[in-house]
Amino acid sequence: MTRRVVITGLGPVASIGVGVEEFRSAVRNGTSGIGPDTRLRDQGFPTYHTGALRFDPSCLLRRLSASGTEWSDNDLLAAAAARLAVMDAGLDEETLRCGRTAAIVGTTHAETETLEAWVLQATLRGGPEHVSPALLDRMLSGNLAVAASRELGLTGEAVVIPTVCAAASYAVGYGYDRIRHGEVDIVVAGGADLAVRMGHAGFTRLGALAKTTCAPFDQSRSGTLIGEGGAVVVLEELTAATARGAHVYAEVLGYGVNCDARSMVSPTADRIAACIRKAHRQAGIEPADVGYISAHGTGTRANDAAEANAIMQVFGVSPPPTSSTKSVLGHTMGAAAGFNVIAAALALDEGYVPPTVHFTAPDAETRWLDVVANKAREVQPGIAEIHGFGFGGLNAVLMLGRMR
Amino acid sequence: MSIAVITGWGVVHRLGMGAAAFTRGVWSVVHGRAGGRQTTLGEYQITEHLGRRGIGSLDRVAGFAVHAGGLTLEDAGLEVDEEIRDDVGVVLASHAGSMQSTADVVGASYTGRRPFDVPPQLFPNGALSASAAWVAMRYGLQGVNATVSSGQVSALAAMAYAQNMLRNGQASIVLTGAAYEHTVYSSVLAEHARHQYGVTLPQGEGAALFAVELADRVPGQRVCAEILAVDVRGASLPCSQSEIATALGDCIGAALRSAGVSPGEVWAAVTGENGSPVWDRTERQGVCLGLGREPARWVPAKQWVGEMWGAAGAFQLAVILGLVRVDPSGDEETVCVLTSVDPAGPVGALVVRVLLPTRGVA
Repeated sequence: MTRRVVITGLGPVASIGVGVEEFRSAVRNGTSGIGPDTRLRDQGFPTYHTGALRFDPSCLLRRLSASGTEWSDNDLLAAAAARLAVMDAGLDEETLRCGRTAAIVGTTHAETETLEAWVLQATLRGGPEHVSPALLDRMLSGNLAVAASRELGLTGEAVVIPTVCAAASYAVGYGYDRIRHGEVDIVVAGGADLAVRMGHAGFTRLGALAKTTCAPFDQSRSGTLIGEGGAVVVLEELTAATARGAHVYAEVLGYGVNCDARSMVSPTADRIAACIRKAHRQAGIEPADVGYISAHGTGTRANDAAEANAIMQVFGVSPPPTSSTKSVLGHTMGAAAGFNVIAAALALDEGYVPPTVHFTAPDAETRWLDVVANKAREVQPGIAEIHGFGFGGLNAVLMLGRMR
Repeated sequence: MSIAVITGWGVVHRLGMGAAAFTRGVWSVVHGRAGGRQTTLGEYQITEHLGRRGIGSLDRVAGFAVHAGGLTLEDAGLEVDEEIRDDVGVVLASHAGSMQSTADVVGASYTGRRPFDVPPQLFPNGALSASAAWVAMRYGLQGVNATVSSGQVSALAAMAYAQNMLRNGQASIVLTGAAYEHTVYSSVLAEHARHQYGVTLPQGEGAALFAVELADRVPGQRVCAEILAVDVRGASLPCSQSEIATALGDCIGAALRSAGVSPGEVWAAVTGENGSPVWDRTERQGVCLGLGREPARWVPAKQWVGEMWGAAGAFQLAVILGLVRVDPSGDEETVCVLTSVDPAGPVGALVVRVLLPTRGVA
């Protein structure tokens, strides 16, 4: 008999707001966190609108020092988002320190910011051997999760899952498995990514970035925008959560992960459809049960077309209301699916479906979608489906259910 | 719950390419018959092993992973056809992906005429998950595709993740393991580790992959080894060496209990020791605490293959699979405990029962 797993804490650290109140209000009202980044413009990037984070992690951290050299900014962001989620869940220090608790953090860039600093020093000084030792101490993979674990005093595994832009769904899925099989009782899971130069350079080079606006599924969509943030949730076993009187936002019903195994950069609609069906099977639900799709919706022509096609394959001509948080956040990489999870948990809890902003009209490739355009829809979804896809053809679909 | 079993494995290493050649290589070095102590692959060319087709922009570390993946499928006798494609996954441990690919992209951004003049085909390789994706693309493996990172403990964490995927039906066969490339960047990191911790081992490189499946779905004669338990932990608070030793001891104790193995049954402790006086002592203390005694033998596996950080655990497993086959003191079934310690805190233990190929299956 497996245990039921619920979400009892939300830790959004986003350009549109920090903490549940600010994040909910911005996502529900479609308030965008996108703006020009003059630093990128001055570096010579032709596209420089981003969803940049303005956030000081030391305002949330209690144990980790934000001023030393031990942790990278990305580590501190992950730890701060984890702290925020735990505060929202109302968990006390003792429970975290004495129970069976774990940290699982998804990411695209991990410690790339540190490697970039190293490469810059190597470029300026004439070789990789000319490097500040303090940088090398921060190259340890796994540090995002170790930082979160140290901040909270967790006892179990501290694992990073760097599965690019689907990473946070992988992390939440793994945490769900750990709890339902009785191996752990509480998991902080999600994703974190600060923007790095490599990302901006690479996506610009691939022609994947829009000028100023991320307009998922819209006929005028011209690309994505890079965002940043930390999105962590608290997963807990249902009876323990109920016993301590915790507020339950949503229940994790199951998930599916698979791979296109075809291209490093182009998504495949039928593999995404297979992943959605796998998630439905794992969760024991039918397509008709789904009341909201929190789409991957990057805003690039090819990605949105493939995702829309996959949705049609599974749901037919009347799919559930669909929206993309990237229209207000930009693409936050390893945190992206985590923000989708948080947005979906709030939607299930409070009974609405958040909008995709900048939507004017669909095109031939997205016309069968029911896009929640520009304004939240006042309906109560019972089950939400969260999409997250990434380079290498990595697909993850996570199912959340409303708690009754 | 059904345990995971290894039904085939493949190694790309200076000691030998493939399970059989690697096993012979281990035998040679253990018996002191191999000359030199070269543990990196020098002028290795992926095209010599896989041909030119479909290689695309494969970088060095992904090349090792793809090569080892093919050897593993072959050793396991797996033909991946349309019927099972969707059920075969890849779960790799990664330390920092290809630092070289990332550095090449970033370097081009710093030195190019424009900051986005970067090689587009190399950009996706900068992702830590790139090697796993390349393995999937090469062999058409469409099940779960994941990458796991937890410092030195990464490969054990990947095995735990792979086992979880099998149990949850996200895949029925998973190729798990790790790859590591020796580059100018890894050399600098190694030199730093020598200064900081006194690490004396040379750098290694290569890949070690294992095909794992659930025991109840596999006929006994196909099994090379059984993964009886895996336990990985992060150390929660800034802690002393003795606290980390205690954490490792707890980890080993829990893994043995979960495996139903008594400390007396353990043939060897296969450690991740790398010459660092402080960390090697910590790891040995942890092992003794976990077993409640000294193990019957210490096997510091990396002394033969070199240090490979996040990929090390996979090579510890490959070494013991090879060693048990060539060591006359091993029984037909040999239980070993693999251990890993990371200076940042994570610790891990894996309990494996190695089965000798006495039933005519090599």
